[in-house]
Amino acid sequence: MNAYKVKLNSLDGRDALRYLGLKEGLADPAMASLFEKCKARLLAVIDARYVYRVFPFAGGLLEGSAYQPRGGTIARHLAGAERVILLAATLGSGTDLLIRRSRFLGMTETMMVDALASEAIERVLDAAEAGIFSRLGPDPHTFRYSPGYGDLPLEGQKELLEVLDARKRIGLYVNESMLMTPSKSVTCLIGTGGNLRGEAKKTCRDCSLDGKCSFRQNGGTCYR
Amino acid sequence: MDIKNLFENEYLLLDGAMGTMLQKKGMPLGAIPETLNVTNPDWVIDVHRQYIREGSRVIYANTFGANSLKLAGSGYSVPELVGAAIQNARRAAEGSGAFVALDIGPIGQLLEPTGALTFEEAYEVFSKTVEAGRGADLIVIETMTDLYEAKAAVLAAKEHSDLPVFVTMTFEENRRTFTGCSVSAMCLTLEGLGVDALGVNCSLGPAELLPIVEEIARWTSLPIIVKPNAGLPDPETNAYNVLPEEFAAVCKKMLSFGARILGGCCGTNPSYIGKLREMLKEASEEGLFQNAAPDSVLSLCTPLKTVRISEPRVIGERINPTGKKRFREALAAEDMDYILSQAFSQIEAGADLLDVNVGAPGIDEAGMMVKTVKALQSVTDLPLQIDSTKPEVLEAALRVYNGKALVNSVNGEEASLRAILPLIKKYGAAVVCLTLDENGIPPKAEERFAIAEKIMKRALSFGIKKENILIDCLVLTVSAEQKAAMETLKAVRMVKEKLGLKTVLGVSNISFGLPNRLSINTSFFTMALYAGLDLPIMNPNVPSMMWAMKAYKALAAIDENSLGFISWSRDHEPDDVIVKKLRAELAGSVPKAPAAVPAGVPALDIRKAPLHPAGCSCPECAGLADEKRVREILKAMETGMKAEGRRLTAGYLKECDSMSIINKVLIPALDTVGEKFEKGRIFLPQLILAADVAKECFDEIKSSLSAGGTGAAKGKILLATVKGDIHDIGKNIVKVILENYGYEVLDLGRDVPPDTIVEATLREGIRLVGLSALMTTTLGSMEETIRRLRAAGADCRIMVGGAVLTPDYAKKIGADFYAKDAKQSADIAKEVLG
Ligand code: B12
Ligand code: SF4
Ligand SMILES: [Zn+2]
Ligand SMILES: [Zn+2]
Repeated sequence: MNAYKVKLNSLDGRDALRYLGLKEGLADPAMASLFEKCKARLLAVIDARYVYRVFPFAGGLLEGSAYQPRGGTIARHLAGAERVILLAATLGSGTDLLIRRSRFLGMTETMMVDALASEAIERVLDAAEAGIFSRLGPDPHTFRYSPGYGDLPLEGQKELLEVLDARKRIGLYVNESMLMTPSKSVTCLIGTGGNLRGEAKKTCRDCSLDGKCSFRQNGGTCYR
Repeated sequence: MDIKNLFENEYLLLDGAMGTMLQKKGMPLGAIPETLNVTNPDWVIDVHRQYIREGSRVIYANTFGANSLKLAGSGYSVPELVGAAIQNARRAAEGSGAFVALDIGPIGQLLEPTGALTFEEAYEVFSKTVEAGRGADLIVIETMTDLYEAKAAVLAAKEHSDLPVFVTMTFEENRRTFTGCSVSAMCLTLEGLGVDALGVNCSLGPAELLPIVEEIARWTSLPIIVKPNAGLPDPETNAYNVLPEEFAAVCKKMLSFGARILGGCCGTNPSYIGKLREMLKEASEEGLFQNAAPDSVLSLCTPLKTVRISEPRVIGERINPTGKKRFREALAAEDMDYILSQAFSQIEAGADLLDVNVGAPGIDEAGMMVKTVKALQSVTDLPLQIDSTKPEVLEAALRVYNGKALVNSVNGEEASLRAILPLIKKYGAAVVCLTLDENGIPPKAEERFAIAEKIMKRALSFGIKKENILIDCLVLTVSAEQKAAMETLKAVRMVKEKLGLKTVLGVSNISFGLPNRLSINTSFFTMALYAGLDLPIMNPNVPSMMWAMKAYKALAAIDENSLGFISWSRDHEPDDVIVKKLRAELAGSVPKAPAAVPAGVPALDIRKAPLHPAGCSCPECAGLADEKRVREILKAMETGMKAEGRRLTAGYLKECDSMSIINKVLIPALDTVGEKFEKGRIFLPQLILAADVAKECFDEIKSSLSAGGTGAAKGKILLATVKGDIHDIGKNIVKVILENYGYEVLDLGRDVPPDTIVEATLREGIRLVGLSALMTTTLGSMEETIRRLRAAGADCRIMVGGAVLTPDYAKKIGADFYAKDAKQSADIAKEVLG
């Protein structure tokens, strides 16, 4: 268990535009340049880190972990895995400060920065996933499954973060209502090894909104 | 033996890790280590004894997490566990002469502004632990990543005990803590608060800590504490990678930087301490003992930013209600956004520090000061100058200020010296001293100098460091007393040369009562800089003043190769251009770009205009004038020109009253934008831009209005993302849309508890409440919020939205409306509020 840093050099902004409901992108050149400015500002303050731990997985349990995932959908997701990785990542408190501060530059900036930061945390998770498997060897693995998705309870979040010692390792806190601060943070589980049966690419199957969300109704998804 | 003597002239050896040692003994997974003080005291005592055997002179009692928040629900109280822990340590130390430290770690919850725990709450939590641990020989506050939390702990320790206090914070390889706190900010702030030693522990091994220790030595004269981890843990095996010999060898290199108090953190065990003891013995014999020789130039700081007063710096004066009606109204209404916008404009203009004065008749100044300081430090990182004449206001501000502040001011009157100097000492601030006393402001430079010298001596006698004493020789208006200007400058020079103190002046006062004040101000400013002024208190939004500063620095060879001046020139218009523009604008001769007529608004047909005299106010002419205004404002909105929106509005205000501007110009323009959005002719980003411009226009109107609310918008709507949910992108879009339709929105943010929503709804008489939730887990708190609103008898309708909601579910939890998307929120608002 160690903490790693991720340096993001760029963002393509596709997810951010989707969160803002802009399928067509930014036609207006002034808006596009503002968007780029927000990107640069955000990239300058992101101090992204992640921490993970690999546990042997047998009989539906993580060996030697005080956190155990509960529920049917995660059981299906991790079925057949030999090991399970617990992962937490954050963009750091500088991002929250930037978002608070943007309010005084204007609503446009605030929303752009906020949506871009949501995209950035996904890219950090991509980088974390790549880093982990470059260290473990390129084993096949499931997509990242977060507490709160499917019927995997969000309530486990606190224990999960304690097992990772996330407060000390990456400065990630969680409160009684399971909210994490810094706010641009994500926790997840990944299954690997053995006779994996869970999907490698994210699907909508376990989502409580299955198909009813605005993303799907507009012919897309909330993920890449 | 007094522990302070122990590290005065020699090294002091601490202990190593407790947690890892207890785990080895079989502490169960997920257990609270402090409970072992009661359940397995023998384990704890044995670990202490092992460290003492290897030479630890100070052992940390097993109290790291023993605070009331972490222990809640554990079945144990703080006094119980802390008492047992100290007893265990005492038993282990019996006969060895080892000292026992009360160990205080982070609370485990994030403090404001990022987290929800207030500074005052944190102080209370720490106070309880300190009270329970007064039987120790010293207090150690460790593994802190938030300077604010460390400050709360230090105040609690000093105000609830007389024990020596050690503080160590935890840094990452970029020499910052997770919350961004720098090494300099830690040193300046904690040394100021009067701790006995400070340094670093945990997170990194000795090799990675080496450069951090080197930097600490540049910022403090206190003994430095170092407690590294045994290297870095392996991601697979979790084992640490530095062995005891190497650990001690690297630590030895830190001694030359002034490291004097050493021990080990995570992954270390008694053999690391044993090696440290051998190394320290060797070092003493080799005479490596070293005192730190830190920087002696005044620096002020916040956690993120340290401003070293090694050259003239600008104190922005605009956060001050004196002579400003709009500011006083903002204070009365506790309109933090307005006050913060004053901060931002000064930051953009190049201020280095911000003066904060919130004294006005009828204002609870202390309460407002605390609120303002907290609000400022939640969004800016510039150090503050706390400005008040009242000691209780200064103290309230100094307590909650996060960093090292400047205080304005103390003067030569006995009462002032007695009330204020102790505060400066206690909170480790720097202070501006005014050269006046019981007899007023003396006319002669020599007399002002004498007062400066007297105050300096008094301040030194309070234990305030010389660099923290600044002198304001006081500027008088030159129109009243012409010779006064040169006397002031003479006094500045004397203070600078003979006392070696930094100087402060409020430079704008000089020109009262004279024409062309700007030219007097800039000339005097340059003269003052030449006389030795370090910190002008001025308005950085006046370009000529900033230019004068930049020019002076170039001419005085402070700005090497004039690089600063050149880069400033790239981003700022020169004086003469600005003046020319202003003149042209005043004369009404700005060559206007041909107004492109935005789609959707009928062009003004000049032939239809009735042939009435200019300035005629008949309904027909007034209507035409309004139409023209709507078109102008629309253009500014659609192109996002905020300054233009403000300028136009200011112009209209000269022609007609504010209500008719709102009703006949701004709202119709906003309606047009909304309509275009609906029809898909413009998109969300333009809509947001338009909202930004509209906000500027409303602000302009507000600032011109006299006291008394505006009742501007069509009605107020409350929005919140419910408790437990941070997903607020959707709610923010709703806000923008509603504002675009002319509604005033009270946005409570995200993760908002039901009580807060109920309270605000009742207080503001809100008639439409909008709630957002994006997770199945937070639908419960949405339901709870609705129930509370109904139970409290709030006379409001409730609309709900967010990805997880369905119309059926919305009905089930008692909402009046379900909104599929943000656009629908505007329809609902129309139905409810009109
Ligand atoms: C972006 C995002 C994030 C961002 C948050 C950014 C932010 N500041 O909001 C980040 C990456 C940080 C994040 C983190 C998490 N997320 Co998330 N996130 C999303 C995502 C992909 C998009 C949300 C979004 O912004 N949509 C765009 C906006 C415009 O749409 P909208 O919110 O629905 O709003 C529109 C309408 O609904 C309506 N509306 C909304 N509110 C209101 C209110 C009123 C009054 C009205 C009238 C209308 C209205 O108008 C809006 C505009 O048209 C959703 C997926 C989804 N389908 O929503 C998951 C989702 C909400 N997240 C989820 C989860 C579980 C989490 C985490 C808990 C995961 C984890 N374990 O780490 C964390 C929590 C983080 C923390 N700090 O505690 C789950 C929730 C599942 C559930 N069943 O409850 C979702 C649904 C993903 C999924 N499929 O599982 N997340
Ligand atoms: S796209 Fe919609 S249905 Fe699919 S996972 Fe995301 S929120 Fe759920
Ligand atoms: Zn440690
Ligand atoms: Zn007329």
